[in-house]
Amino acid sequence: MSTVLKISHLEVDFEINGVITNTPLRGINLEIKAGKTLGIVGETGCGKTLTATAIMGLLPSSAIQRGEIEFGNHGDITKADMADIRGSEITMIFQNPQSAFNPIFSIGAQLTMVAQRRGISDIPATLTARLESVGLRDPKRVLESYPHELSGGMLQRAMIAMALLSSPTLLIADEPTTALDATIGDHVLTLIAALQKREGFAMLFISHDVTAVAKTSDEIAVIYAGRVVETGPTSEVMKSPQHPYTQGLLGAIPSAEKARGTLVAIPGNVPSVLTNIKGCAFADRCSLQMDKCAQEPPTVQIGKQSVACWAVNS
Amino acid sequence: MRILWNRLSSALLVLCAASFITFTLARVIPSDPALAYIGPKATAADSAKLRITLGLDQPIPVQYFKYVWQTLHGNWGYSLSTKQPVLQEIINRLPATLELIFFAMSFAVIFGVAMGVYAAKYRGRLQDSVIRIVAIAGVSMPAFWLGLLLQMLFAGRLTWFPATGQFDIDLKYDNPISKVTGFPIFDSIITGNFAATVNGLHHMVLPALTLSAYSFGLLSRMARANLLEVMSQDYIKVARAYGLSERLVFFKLALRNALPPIITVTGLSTAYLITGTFFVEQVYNWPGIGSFAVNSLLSIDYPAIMGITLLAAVGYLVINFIVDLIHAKLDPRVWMR
Amino acid sequence: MSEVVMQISQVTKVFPLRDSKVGFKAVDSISIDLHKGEVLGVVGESGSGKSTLARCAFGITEPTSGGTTILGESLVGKSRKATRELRANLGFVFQDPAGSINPRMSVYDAIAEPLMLAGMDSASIDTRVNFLMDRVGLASSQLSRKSHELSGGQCQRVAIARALATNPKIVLLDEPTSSLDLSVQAQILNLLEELRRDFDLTYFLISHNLDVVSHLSDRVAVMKDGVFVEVGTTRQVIDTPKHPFTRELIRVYSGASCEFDLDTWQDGPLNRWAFQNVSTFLPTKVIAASPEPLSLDIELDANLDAITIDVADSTYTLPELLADVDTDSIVVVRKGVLVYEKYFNGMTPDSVHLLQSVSKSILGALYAVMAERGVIDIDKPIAFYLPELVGSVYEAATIAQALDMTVAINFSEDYSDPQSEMARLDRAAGWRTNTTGHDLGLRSFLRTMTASGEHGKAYQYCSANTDVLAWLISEVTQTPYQDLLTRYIWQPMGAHDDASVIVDREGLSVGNGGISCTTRDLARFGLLIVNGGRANGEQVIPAAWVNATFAGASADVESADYLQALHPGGSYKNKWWITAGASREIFGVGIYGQYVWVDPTSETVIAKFSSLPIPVDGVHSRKHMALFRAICAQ
Repeated sequence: MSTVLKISHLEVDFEINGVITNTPLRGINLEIKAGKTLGIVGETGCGKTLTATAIMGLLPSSAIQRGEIEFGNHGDITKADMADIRGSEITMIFQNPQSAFNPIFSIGAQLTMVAQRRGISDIPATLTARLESVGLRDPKRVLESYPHELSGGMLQRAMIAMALLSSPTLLIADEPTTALDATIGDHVLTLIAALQKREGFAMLFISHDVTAVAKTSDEIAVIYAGRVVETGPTSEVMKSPQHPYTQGLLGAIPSAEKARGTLVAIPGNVPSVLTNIKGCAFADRCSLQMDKCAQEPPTVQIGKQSVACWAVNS
Repeated sequence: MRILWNRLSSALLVLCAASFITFTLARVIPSDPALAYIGPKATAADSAKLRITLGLDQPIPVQYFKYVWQTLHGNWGYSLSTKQPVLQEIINRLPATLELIFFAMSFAVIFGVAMGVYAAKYRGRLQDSVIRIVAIAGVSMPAFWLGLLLQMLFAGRLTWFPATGQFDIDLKYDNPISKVTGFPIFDSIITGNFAATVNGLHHMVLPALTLSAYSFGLLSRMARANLLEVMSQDYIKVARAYGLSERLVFFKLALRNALPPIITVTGLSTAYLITGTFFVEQVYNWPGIGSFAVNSLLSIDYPAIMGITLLAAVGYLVINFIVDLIHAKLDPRVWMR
Repeated sequence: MSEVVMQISQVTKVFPLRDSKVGFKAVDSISIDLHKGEVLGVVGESGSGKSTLARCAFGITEPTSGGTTILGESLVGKSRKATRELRANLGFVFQDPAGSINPRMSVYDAIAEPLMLAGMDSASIDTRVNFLMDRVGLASSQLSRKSHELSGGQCQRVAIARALATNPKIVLLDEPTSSLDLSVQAQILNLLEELRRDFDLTYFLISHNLDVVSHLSDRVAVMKDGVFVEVGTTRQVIDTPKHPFTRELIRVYSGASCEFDLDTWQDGPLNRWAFQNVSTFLPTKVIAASPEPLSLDIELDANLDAITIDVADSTYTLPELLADVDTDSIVVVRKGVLVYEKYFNGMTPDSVHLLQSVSKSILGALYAVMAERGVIDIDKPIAFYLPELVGSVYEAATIAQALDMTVAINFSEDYSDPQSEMARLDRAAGWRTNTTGHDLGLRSFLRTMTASGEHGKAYQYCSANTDVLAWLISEVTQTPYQDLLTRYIWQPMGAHDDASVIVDREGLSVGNGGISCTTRDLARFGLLIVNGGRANGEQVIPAAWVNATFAGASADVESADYLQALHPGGSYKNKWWITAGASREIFGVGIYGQYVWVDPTSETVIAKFSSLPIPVDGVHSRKHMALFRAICAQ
């Protein structure tokens, strides 16, 4: 199976006046296979969205990017290449559909701008067909509507329609259901899965919600403080998480089955993006902490999972 | 449509309230309008008689309704100091002021917004800093002081522009402006009076610049801040993520979103300019409403004050109404409220 | 059970709406008791009314009617002082931790404020604040900080300490962890449980997150549209949910895969989404609405909710039975008036739903029109019109036999067997993944069908017969099937919304079950039948055909066991099922619980969609029959 996107050793620094202020991405290695879904899971500030921003080539000018992002047969994509790939071969849907659409242009006007950019010939017919294919029953009304006139679920569908206008190879979904009600969000996820089956695009699914990621992804990547700490097939990672952080995260999901007051509560907080991290970022919250943790742990292979942890290594 | 109706009716209400408050205030201040009218040498009997003639013996609400009735019929009373009908005085002076406001506002909007956009585009660079300093200066300098400063520099020292007045005095004899609409520069343009046009514009520069300073500063700051705010919105990120050109993103998508608040501020500062003319006209000896207003205030010429207040209120409401209309046109969400 | 500390009775909150005299009922007469030491969790989505309920119950908002008693005393109609004393028993923790603490206040001031208001002296306040800080797990070094210097989790700890400052008995937890990261959420949930145990607190927890609610609560109330659709102990609600919304919520939170699978979309739970969204994964064509839709008078009959139905050894109320059979929507039209209408599972009056085999009954009506117009002769063999089918079962079988399902054909309608002809038909139609490379399209599949005996003798339900008829009629008229339906059925009957029909890869309509329409439009179709084929004063379908359908199949046709088991004496005619019940109802039925039920006696039409987990079974069919008959008996 061919690889659509391969990210190796991606690091991002932010600098102000030549001084590096922080390093929010410290080593992202990811690989997405054609037609498959990779889920990135992590808590606030771990670098999930920044990774997507880097892939889209939309990092602000104060960011310094190292490492490779290889896309399909384009090889390592530079910023110049990105202008053609962005929005056509790689498209993206966003967390809050209400703010992702410009409030003072109709949905039709906004989709038309994107369609024009993509050089689509029969725009009205294409838009109508696209909106129908994402389950919007009344495309004409949707096209004439302004964002505030539609529900979140409808807007997210319209956003998906916009993302699929160019039949992309890769769809990046950044918390696509976080702003929606659970049942509506679930419908959107099913819709995306159905469309993926039909059109065969690969997906990078980004979420803080472990359950949502588990539901949609073939592979899962757990990010902590700007580094991938564990990757592997979703079923394996969910069944036997290897990294102490992944274990903690899964143990922290509340449910009726877990006795009250006994959730795994990882002590402390996620380190702020401004923290200068040496060695394993998770060490000071980890129950397995040892001396070696002051050094960067190598990534080791355990079965189908890759884990960056000294405790697993030794 | 219903929104329009609502706006109109509330505007009418504001007008009634404004006129009533000014009217009452003018009546309760410790100054006898009758005395002011006939002068200090009048006897008590004269004054009492006049009070009846002027209707001042009646209760204030009755006086007010009489006033409203007459105002609606075009009788705005007589100025106590010039003894001319107030409406006539206003009509004679209004064009000069409106032209001044027009030029000042055009300058402020065109250059203010352009500078703001330019500063936003080059945020954090030298251009940005310079524009921001100019803007702050414009907002913080009082109009009369700036007026004097410009007068001293450009009229006094450099003599590039005339110091006062609307036209050179001898223009009246050499190239008299034929009155068509009453707006002197406009009339000189449409009658092809080239010399008068140039002369009028030449006189216009300093007062217009002075009057526009505040709005210019305000608008450039607003435009800059709004654009930057809009540029950080999600939908701009989305537009970029979909590969839309930077030109389209900046000038079509972002600028249009930044416009509604700019228009509001334009409206508000136009209203502010109405009072701004009071000082500017005084400094530049401009024959407009402003100087008339200042003189009326100083002599407690209450019919004139009432007339000017009413005019200012109407002007303010009309401007706001226009702003609302433009707003509704630009932002579909307005109709929801 | 321990004593009741809070009694919420008949709380209703109506918000005024512009352009409406009625207003929006956010909370609709909710009553519930809180017992000492328990955690009552209310779960619901945005707009369900859960926050409004909490605000009314805790006296933050004045309810429109109803009220709360706290420790036996009413919150309303008290002096300010008495109210304040009563309120001292209440604590509040809200979602946005930073927002609920005054940003200019230090942690110390934030916790001390309620104590100062209660008139405590400064030394005692000092002791109390330090005690609380310790209990919520904050170091005293953080006392001088302000909210922006704290993390989200720390802020929420301060908010909890503040809520507990005056020793309240009942604490409102309004989305207490919704803005926190998962690992921090776990800390706070553990802390809340620990505090509850130590201080014998009672919690009123509201959250959109079923995981949080079910983890922390003793009892769970599921709220939707201003009412509790389900209340029970956490175990009851989670293990044996009664309401479809509860089931949906549990499924969503179970982490069940959202993977879309073309081979299983018709089964539960994927069908709960798929039946409303076929156009997103299968190609469809539009059946256009009428420019002048038939308007339905609406007079809702509130009595219907109260009827009880005895079936399968249980007694249900109508809402309970609707929930039990995974109803997506139901519309009841009695004597031309819409008297009952309910939508579940995200359906609305505008949503369409797959009809499955109810599509066949619509085809039956189209054939009645076509035969009357002389377009076809239904007694001719099918191959007479479709010479391509010479050599197949359809060489000899007539149109009438296909309409009445008396074609003797080698066809297994087994929905569960992937090797059955039915599964092959689905693959040919594109309804399942076709990896075999055979049967690419309905036409090539239908050509391979063979006869198993003499036609017209015995009833044999076979979906392929309907597909062949959809093909035939569009071939004869040289008009796409969806356009025929638009022109002769959908628009004349006054459809309000567009419907659609699934087509195969060659663009041929799937006649056996591919139509999707709104619930109301399906009811309009039923109305057409109950009105003897008339709509808007026009004879849309020949009356004779309607009467013939009501009369049922000829007695000469040998029936089938499975039909007789459900409908003793019943039969199948013109693509409709005919019961032998006293009121001679007829109906169209589709797998997974789709129905249009027509009862001529009471002039009642019922359109009903479901997404049952399995295609057919006797229990669900019986429940549906009982449900329909109970409604019609009203």
